[in-house]
Amino acid sequence: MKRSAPGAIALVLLVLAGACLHGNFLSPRVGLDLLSDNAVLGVAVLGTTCVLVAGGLDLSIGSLAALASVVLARLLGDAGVSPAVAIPIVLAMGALLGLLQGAVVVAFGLQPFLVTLAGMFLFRGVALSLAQESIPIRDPRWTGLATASLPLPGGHALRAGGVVFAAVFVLWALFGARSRFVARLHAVGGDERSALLLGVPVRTTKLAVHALSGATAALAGVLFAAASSSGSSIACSGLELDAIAAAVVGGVALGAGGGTFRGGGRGGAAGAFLGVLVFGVIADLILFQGTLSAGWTRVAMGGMLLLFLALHRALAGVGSPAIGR
Amino acid sequence: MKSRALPAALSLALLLAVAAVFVPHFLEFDVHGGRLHGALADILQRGAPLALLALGLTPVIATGGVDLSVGSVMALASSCAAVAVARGESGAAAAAGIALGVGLAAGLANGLLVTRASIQPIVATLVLLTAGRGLAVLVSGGGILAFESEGLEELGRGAFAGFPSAGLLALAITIATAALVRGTTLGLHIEAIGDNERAARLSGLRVDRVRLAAYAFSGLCAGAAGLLVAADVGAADASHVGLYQELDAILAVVIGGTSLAGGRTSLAGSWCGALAIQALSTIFLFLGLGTPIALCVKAAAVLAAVAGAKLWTRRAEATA
Amino acid sequence: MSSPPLVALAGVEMRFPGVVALDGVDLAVRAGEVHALVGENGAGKSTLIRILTGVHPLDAGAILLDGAPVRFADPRAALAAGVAAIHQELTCIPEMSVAANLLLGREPRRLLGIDRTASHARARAALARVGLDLPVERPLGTFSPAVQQLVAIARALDLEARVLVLDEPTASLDRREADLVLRCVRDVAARGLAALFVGHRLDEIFAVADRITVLKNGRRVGTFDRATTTRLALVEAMLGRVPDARATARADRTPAGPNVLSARGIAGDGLDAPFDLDVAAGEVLGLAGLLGSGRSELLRLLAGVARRTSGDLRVGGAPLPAGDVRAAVDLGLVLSPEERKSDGIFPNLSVRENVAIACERRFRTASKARQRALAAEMIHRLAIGCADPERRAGTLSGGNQQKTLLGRWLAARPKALLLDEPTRGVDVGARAEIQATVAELARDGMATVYVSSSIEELLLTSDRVLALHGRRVVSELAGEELAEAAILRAIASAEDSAT
Repeated sequence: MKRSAPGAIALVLLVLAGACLHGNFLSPRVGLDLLSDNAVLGVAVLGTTCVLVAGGLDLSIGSLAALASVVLARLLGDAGVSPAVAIPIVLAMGALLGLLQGAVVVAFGLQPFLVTLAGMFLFRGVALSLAQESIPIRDPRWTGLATASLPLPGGHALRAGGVVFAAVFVLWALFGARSRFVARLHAVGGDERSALLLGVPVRTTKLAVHALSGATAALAGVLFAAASSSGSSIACSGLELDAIAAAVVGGVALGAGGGTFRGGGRGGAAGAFLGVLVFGVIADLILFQGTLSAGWTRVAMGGMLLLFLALHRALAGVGSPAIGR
Repeated sequence: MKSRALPAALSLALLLAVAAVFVPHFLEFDVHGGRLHGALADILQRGAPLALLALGLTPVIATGGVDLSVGSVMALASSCAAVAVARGESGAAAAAGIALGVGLAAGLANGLLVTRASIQPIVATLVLLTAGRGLAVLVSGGGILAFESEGLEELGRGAFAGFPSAGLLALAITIATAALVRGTTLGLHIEAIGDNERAARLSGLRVDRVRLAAYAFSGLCAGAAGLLVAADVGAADASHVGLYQELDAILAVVIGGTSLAGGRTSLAGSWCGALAIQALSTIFLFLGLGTPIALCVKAAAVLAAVAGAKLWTRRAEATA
Repeated sequence: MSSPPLVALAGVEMRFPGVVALDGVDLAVRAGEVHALVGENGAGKSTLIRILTGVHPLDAGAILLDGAPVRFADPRAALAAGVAAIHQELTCIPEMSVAANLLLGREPRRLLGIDRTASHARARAALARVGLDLPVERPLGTFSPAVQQLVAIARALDLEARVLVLDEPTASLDRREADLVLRCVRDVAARGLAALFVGHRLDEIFAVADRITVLKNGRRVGTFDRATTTRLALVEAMLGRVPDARATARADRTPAGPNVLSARGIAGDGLDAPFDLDVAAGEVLGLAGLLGSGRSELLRLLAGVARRTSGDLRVGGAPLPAGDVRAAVDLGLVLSPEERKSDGIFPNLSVRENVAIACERRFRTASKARQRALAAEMIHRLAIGCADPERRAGTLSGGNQQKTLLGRWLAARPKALLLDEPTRGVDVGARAEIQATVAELARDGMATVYVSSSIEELLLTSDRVLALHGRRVVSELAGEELAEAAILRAIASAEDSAT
């Protein structure tokens, strides 16, 4: 939990700064919108974090989210399928495509970077061939779902995206974070050879984590479709790198040494969720300022990333001299 | 080393041959304005920035690293150059200097993060991937920044002996770099570090310095690529220049026969890989098929390149 | 002590390309017994353990558990059958808590995932069985290596293992920590488990083992009862018998050159006690000692690979700054490392490049002709078995890789050569050739420090021998004293005096 501490402190500081600069920054509305506006990244970061913790990488999630939104729009529009059926189909598709990539990684011992890069091109290509332009979703049942909001005390309401983000967060905190599965992820990412010797089913774990990443990417696509009332083949580009950045800010390590794309085993999804919120608050701050260009958001995100890399390095250096080589 | 570039060169040749047979008017060209026009010239011209990115990335990947920031650095360099020209304060040469300087500085920053701070290359360069584009937007004020400069226009769209000068320039830089790398011990150092870093240190090589130089060169090439793109269209578009080009460039390097794990490498292969990727886009454009299928073919190309490399090493080990 | 063996290996064979790692080895471990397995690097201990714990399938022979033949597909299968391994490099996930490491894959669960309270309680109970009481929620990496090993043993007990395979569990521990682990191993065996203990410190072996099996070059030399054997007998079995007549290879040499390598008060990583060392031009200084005695560490300190904390080192009179490999190479002091694969060879580069690289460490114009000439010279001079200098070095046999490495350093024309086990994993012919080359170099004035685990080889090559024990230099033998018995005694008596 210590690794997510810098993220939490930064979040508090940023919110305080916002409160000092702008009187209405601390209003519940801003907080609720923060959840809703960052739901796509917030959901996707869960899968990415798990992959990173297991020492892997998934570059395909942005494309997969786009594909999911397009398939969803087609199912709802052309096929007239009910959302109650369409959403599970899309999520299952995401999990299956993730699993497929995991299978290629495991079976042929290929680098996840390249395998998921292929997935990234492929899914975007398939999405584009399904729909060159964005498909509006007019199904009333979907619109009902997408515009629904959870009424909260005080006359506030949390939009659908925010509800899903919050639900994913809570469910993960309750069931995921303490599961045997996560213990295995940490073991595989921490030291794959040791994990194998300790009897961890390394291959199965890798397959499962890629499937999870695919499923959360598809869910992110569904949330995109809800927010924009459309399926778009060009949606969510860059989602994979933003998710990695958020995870790093949240204390997830991509490994300290060894090969280029190895390592991991440290940090968790809770920290990564914080990372998403940190980025969200930065964007809000710049938005509130009004006069600042959108360019500042990316610059601030990059600066934040650098700062946190330095912080985590310093903390790792102080806390555990015995670790690493 | 020649054999290393062979698969990429063959893929490029095969791609062009198939296009020549199946795509109507593919090989046709005409000359106007003292310059060749046609699909082949187009590939050479439009492939130039990607070829430069791939060229810069090759030593980085060969030493076992990666540079994800090249697309953003490209945008930053083109914006800086465009602003300098648009303000009317500097000529083409100064703008070129600015673009290259920005690229070099970015590359050095990446290199220092990797060598001095020992941060994983993929994360270290993620910083500039994110911040670089933001800076580009800030510098250019967002939107598309158009400028007029005869010198840059000549660089971007001009011709040399009838051939597009940007394409020739990229080729010339590739050849010059290859000559430098192969003509000196640098090539050996790069491949040795990627193959076995510990052994390289024990052999007395300056591992960190070579690595730093590789990242600096990668930044420099990204700056040059940004300059070419800005010169070509006479404008800088901070939000879109070089977007996702880092992945195409990595793909070009991998197709070119350099493993992501480092080691043996081929600059000529990277050049062929970059042109093959550009040829793919151009051919699909000619066929009116658009990007979807091109993306699927790219996906297949990634898997083919990776699987091919795997088979190659397996076979090499089997003969041991 | 004549109960039937709980676990046994019968006629086990294991071949890797070009090497026979195990050649018909028999071994039996009874319930309640601690059985030690000793031997130098390359004797086959690690391979034997990998077979027993399901990491490698075996080529021929059988594993018998309770007298019945078994086959392990992977470490999980071995674990399921009750064979648990404690490895030399600590097998643990340092960032994870003690409890998580201990119960990985078997965590008690309730509705909301892993039951922290129950798993902590179970972890504490398991730790109690090895006499530990720890805050089990803290990351395992924050505890000492000894504790980490004890946790690994506790994990094996919690898994209800019946056979405990301990692969140098004390390798990274100091004496006090090692004692803790050894006591724990004895306790565990006393409860009816069979323990196979691989180690290299004789005092530990004598403290913990009931019986001792010695492996050498993939064969079993013999099995000894602790009660009836001596250290000297064991060391002799491990390091080998030498023909009585002193090898004549050294007779024609009388090194009298100036000091090339001169170390004063050197200490650092891996060697705490400062040592002095002089090597003259034309002299070969042998380093004798068991595995882990500090012989490799000494070389790494000299070469600037390991961190030097004190002392003054001069090469040909010029001072060498600490921890600067490149400066050492520039001054003509080069190290040929023991770990050929990970530290030496560039597997995907050609023999030409492997040979030329140290000469070409500076940035300058490359000449393929120059490199090829160098490679050709070394291929000829060292009889490297490769017709084509463009061949990938990774495809060469071990002996030829070693010669290629030697060629790399000779090509750089050094003043002093540090050779760490230059004949390990090398066939007999290549071994003789490498030794002859070292002698020839010495005749031409090279100062050499030669590490070998074979006394015979040291006698054959060295003018003087330093004996190391417990990470310090314990004695120096030269001239008339230089005989097998004396060296063995130096190593073994050091063992005795240290206990």
